[in-house]
Amino acid sequence: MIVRLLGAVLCGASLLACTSSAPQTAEPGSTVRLLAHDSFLLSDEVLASFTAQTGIEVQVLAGGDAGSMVAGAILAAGAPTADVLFGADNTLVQKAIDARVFEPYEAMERGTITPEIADYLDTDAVTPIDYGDVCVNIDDAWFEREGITPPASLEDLTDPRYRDLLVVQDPATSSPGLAFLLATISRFGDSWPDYWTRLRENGVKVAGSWTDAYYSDFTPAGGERPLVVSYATSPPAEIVFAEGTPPARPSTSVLTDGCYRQIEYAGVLAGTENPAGARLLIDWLLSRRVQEDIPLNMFVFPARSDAQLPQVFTDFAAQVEKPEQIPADQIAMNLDEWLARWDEILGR
Amino acid sequence: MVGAVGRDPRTLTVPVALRYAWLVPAGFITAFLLIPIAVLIGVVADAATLTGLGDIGLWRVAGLAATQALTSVLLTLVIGIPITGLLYRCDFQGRRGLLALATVPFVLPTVVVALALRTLLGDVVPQGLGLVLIAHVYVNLAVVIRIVGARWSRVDPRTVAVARTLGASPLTAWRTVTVPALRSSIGAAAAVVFVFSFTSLGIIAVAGDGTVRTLESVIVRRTSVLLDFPGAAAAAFLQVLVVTLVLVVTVRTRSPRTVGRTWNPRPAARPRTRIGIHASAIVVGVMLIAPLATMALASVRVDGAWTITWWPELLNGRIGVGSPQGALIRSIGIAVATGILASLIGGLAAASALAHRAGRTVAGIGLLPLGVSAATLGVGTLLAFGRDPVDLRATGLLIPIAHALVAVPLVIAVAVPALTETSNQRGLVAATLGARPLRAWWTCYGPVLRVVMIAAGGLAAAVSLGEFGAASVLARADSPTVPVLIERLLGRPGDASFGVAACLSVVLMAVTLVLVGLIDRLGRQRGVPL
Amino acid sequence: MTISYASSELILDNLIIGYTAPLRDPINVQVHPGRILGILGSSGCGKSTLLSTIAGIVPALGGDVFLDGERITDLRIDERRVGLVFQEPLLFDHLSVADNVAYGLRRQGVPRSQARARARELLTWIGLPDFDERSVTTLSGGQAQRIALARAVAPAPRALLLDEPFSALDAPLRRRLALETRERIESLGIPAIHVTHDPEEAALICSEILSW
Repeated sequence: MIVRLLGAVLCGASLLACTSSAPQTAEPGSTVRLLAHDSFLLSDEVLASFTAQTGIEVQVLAGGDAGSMVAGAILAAGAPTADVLFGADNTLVQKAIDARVFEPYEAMERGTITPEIADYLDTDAVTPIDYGDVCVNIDDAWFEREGITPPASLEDLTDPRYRDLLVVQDPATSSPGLAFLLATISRFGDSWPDYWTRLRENGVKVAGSWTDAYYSDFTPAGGERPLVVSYATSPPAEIVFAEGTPPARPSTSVLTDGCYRQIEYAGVLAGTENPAGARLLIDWLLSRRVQEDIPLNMFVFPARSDAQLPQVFTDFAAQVEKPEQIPADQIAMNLDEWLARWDEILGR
Repeated sequence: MVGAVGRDPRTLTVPVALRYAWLVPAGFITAFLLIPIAVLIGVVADAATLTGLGDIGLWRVAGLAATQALTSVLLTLVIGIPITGLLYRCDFQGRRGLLALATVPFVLPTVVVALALRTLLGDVVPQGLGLVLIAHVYVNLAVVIRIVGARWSRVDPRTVAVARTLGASPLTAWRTVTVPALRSSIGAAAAVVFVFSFTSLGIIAVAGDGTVRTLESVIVRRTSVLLDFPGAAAAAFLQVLVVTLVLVVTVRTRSPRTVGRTWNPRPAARPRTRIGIHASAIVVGVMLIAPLATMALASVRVDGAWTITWWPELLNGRIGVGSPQGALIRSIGIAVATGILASLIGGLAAASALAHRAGRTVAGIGLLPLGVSAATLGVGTLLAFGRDPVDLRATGLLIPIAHALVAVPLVIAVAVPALTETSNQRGLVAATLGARPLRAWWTCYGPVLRVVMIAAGGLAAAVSLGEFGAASVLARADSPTVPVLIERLLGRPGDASFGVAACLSVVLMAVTLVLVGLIDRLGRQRGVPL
Repeated sequence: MTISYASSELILDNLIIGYTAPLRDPINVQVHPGRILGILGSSGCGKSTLLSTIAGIVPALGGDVFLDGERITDLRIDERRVGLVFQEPLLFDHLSVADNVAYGLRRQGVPRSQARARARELLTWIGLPDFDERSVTTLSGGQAQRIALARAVAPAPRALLLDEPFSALDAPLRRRLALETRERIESLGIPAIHVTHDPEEAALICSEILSW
């Protein structure tokens, strides 16, 4: 009783709209299980707020990386091991939808989602929660020292001036690596293999993972490549994660041309034991409180248009005007072939 | 002739209870290995799986992986056998410490080992096949050292001396006397190293350059990138096939074990030899410790300066991805549960292997988890026991169960030889004094079995501490194990994440080292070969 | 059948034995060809160490070993041509009986067929003809010990060292084998040292006895 009362009070006080039309059949005291990938992270207080509002416990289950998690969900489709899944991105989500992993639900505040994000996938099977742009990052200090103008476009990367300067990730083992490949496919269409041939001839290096590329090969980390495939939010991350006094501004910047937009979705798992609680959790993920907690924990942008961004984001995160995207169904259909072709071009 | 008969375990009446003991390990393996695999196959395999088996590319990967694994085996033997000789046949200060040290890489998370080697050798050996081979040798040295060493310590040094007096040079004596005596153990070690290298994943990911592949890495790529399950099933099927084949051949060709005492090495008599031995020991020690030291160094360095900022984080846990302290406590809890479970199951399997034909079959099947990828096992377990109608997740037993499965082959490998080499004369004496069969059996094998189970349980616990594949699938997000937490930290930006990951790795190393040292000591004190 | 080798003499000249510290006072001994010196003593008195030192398994701490007039103190084990038989037969498990006996000849470069022919002669000599293809794991203790003797003798050693070779056998067999062995060593005409803790065995086999 007290929990319910407290929930009601907090509900009223919080920014979450607890309208009476919300499916209030969820039982307080029950548990809702959130299956999330390893990068899922929210502040403890924010996580606790769901229980405070609804009286429902949240149990976060690890699914490994996003791919393994979605794979597990597909294998368990219809008899899920959790109630809600968070973190299927646009390269994975279509196959999950096709496998009937999700039970359709239209989030209460779906209307608040930034239109470009909402429009990418026209389905109520899943709800976009956040997005991020994968872009080439530039070590400005290095270019300044060498007296070279940094590249300004994807095409520039094949210019001999930038020979042996770029490190990318293997698209088969790294999510940003895959996003960058998709960006080039979106940009160059059928001639993408030619672009990659030129990249190879220009000495592109392939790392196994983002961590390897960013923390070993990238020049600020002591590597030899001043251009790396990373995120539009890497510069603010540099400030936030800096040890000691953070620098006034990041030493790296973002090449805003040829960025690929990754959108992360959440959905109610079909066959859930707690459908009402699951729906509440989706609504909560889209609430302003959670949305505003997302940037500094996961270093992605909130899907909600009215979520306030932290200062470090507004100052240093690159705003990508025209991100590259490929429709989810096309990815689901062609990915295997693209990866095989990529292997071939890179001589693997 | 009394002696010869007395050695035969079958002359001691097998207690009824033991005749059916094989049912327990058989049930465990069926429930937690065969059922999850069957469920997984039921979900993913379809006509496309069969088509997938006809894929030339898949067979090419299998061929390349086999070549890679054979090379790993060869290198591990060439480097491992001389080290085994040094550790088991020469006496010098710090010999036992070195032996424990050599075991640590085997039980550490492969990702940590590969990362350490890459940090250490990155400038000399670029990522790729070379570094993968080095990592495989480093990790698998313990397999060769332990398996071959156990046999080597039973080769009577006087037999070699006799060969020498008959005119054999040291090398000839080694080739014509020692090697033939070690042959079956070298074969067994080679098979295990082959299986580990053939199914390698973490090392391929971290030390490879994307061009080095195993069927295991194909499985992961097909499941978690392409979401191509029938294709993944085809790769998994092929992998299990190859591994089973290798294990069957090894078990078949295993020659009968010789019973004999263990010969402790004596200090070398000649000063020149002594100097040589110490120099080799130092070289081996440096070789073994350098990668581990790299990690230890990383835990106290940032940007080329000394720091102790990461260590307090282990207790404070402000790192976001999960509390290190909690993960340590959890991992130790899981390790203890795994140790108990694995030693019970493995001990029963070994005991029944002694008592019953079915038991010997079960002990053979118990080796099978070696070839089933931990990640596959994890997903299968989740599908079979992670949801209704049988949801064991809340019990917290899923990870210990999966870890026990991974560790049971090792327990069997330790326990079966120790038991078969125990003379049953004490049991016969007890029987003539009127002891009932179970009592007589226990009088005979109990003391050895107890030590073996404690030691094997310790080994299983060490394996559990470092296991990543299954835990990553089965752990709850808010309650990661230490290796899962390390992996998460390594995937996150920031010096802090890396520093704390290094600290956790050091703690894992230390705990493992102590555990292995204690096991060795126990075996030595009780005179049981481990 | 008689098999005999060129006669030689074994001399221990102020030999100091031990692993790190001397186990006894310097030893001075001379063994003539065809004679068997018995050394009688309890365990730990250095009997086995003495044999190991003569064979070259353990280096001498001082003094010299002469064989056939040659100083062999610094020679490697395999260059000394000194036969050694232990308490256990220590046969090579992976070889047949004939290949065990032929082992030393093979190390001298004798072709396999010749070496095996010679091994068959020696098997007849020790009274085990037709044993050549037997597996060594099927032998009784007495048979195995006789084969060990044949193996030690095969490559024509210049001296023979016996380290309690019969103590693992039961009494009647031990007596018989001791007598046989004495006869064979005498017929070989090489010096031998036999160490034992059993005075009866020593009396049976040795030409002279040194009590340690």
